[in-house]
Amino acid sequence: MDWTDSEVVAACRRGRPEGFAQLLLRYQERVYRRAYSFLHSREEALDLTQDVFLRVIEALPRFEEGRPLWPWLRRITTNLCLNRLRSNPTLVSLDEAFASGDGSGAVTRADLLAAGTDVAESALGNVFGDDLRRAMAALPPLHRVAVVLRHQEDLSYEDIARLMDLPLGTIKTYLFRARRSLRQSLAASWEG
Amino acid sequence: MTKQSPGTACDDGIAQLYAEGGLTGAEALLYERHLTVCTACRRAVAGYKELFWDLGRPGYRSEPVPDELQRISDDLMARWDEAVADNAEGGGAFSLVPALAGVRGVARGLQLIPGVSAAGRLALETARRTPKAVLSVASRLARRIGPGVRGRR
Ligand SMILES: [Zn+2]
Repeated sequence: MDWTDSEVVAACRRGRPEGFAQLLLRYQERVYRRAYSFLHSREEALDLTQDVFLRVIEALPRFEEGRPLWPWLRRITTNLCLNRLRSNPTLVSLDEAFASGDGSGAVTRADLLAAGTDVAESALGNVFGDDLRRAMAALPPLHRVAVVLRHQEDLSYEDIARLMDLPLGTIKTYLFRARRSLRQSLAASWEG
Repeated sequence: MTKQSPGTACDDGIAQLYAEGGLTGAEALLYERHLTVCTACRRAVAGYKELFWDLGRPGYRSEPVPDELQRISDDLMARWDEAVADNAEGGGAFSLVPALAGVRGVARGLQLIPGVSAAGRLALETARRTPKAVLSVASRLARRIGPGVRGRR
């Protein structure tokens, strides 16, 4: 039996544990995957997944029945990831270094290898997937968040700007640079 | 960077926009005319189309799910129980049925579902369709509220 979001929310609001168990079954892995794609760290993503659902426990009683859950969970996940990225000086300075660099946005193989420690766990053994994942891991974190929201969540530029609380022009710049960098990195790794 | 007109030759930003379908009809037509004579832009567009396709495809998303998610589920279920119990005492947030806290709440909840018990159904469904990392939330729940409910009463 598939529960609808409304049924899950209704059960949770009645304090029924099977409602919350369903919510975890349906969304915990998805939240983890999204957090991982933003943060590219297993530990951080696990920790963040827990934070997301602690917020959910607090906020669920006020959540309107009938609203879909995923956009709400995605917003909480994205906001918590952004807080984490912004409060980490190492990660933010990467963004700045990127912005003030030569503008080519090219990421060297050495960058990729250095950034790819968490990426080696791929169960797929898919060479191209691994290259892409390494290239994603090497992106400045905020650029990566924008790429994930655009290409894995299919959000519009405007929605990304709203969600990340940044000007539309900044999002365009992030996406432009990140995608150019990804394409160049992949082209480079294909040529060896 | 997208302020240039799409007719402007060899703009990587335009190639990206074109590849994701972000140009208007007229802009796209102009750019396609450029593409017929420009190998570099054709290569760029093909590269971006391939990149965008790969970014969106499920294979890329399927990092292995760590076993620790299970422990986190267990913690969260415990936190949930606490929140519901606190609420029942304090008349707080779970306002609809504040009396249904903890074990007694589960027992009442089960009665609301005709036929198979919720716990059994959850366990069945979980076994069929969920990855093993998340699987035991429901089976743990089934264990806890199945026989436990009657036992404790
Ligand atoms: Zn050209």
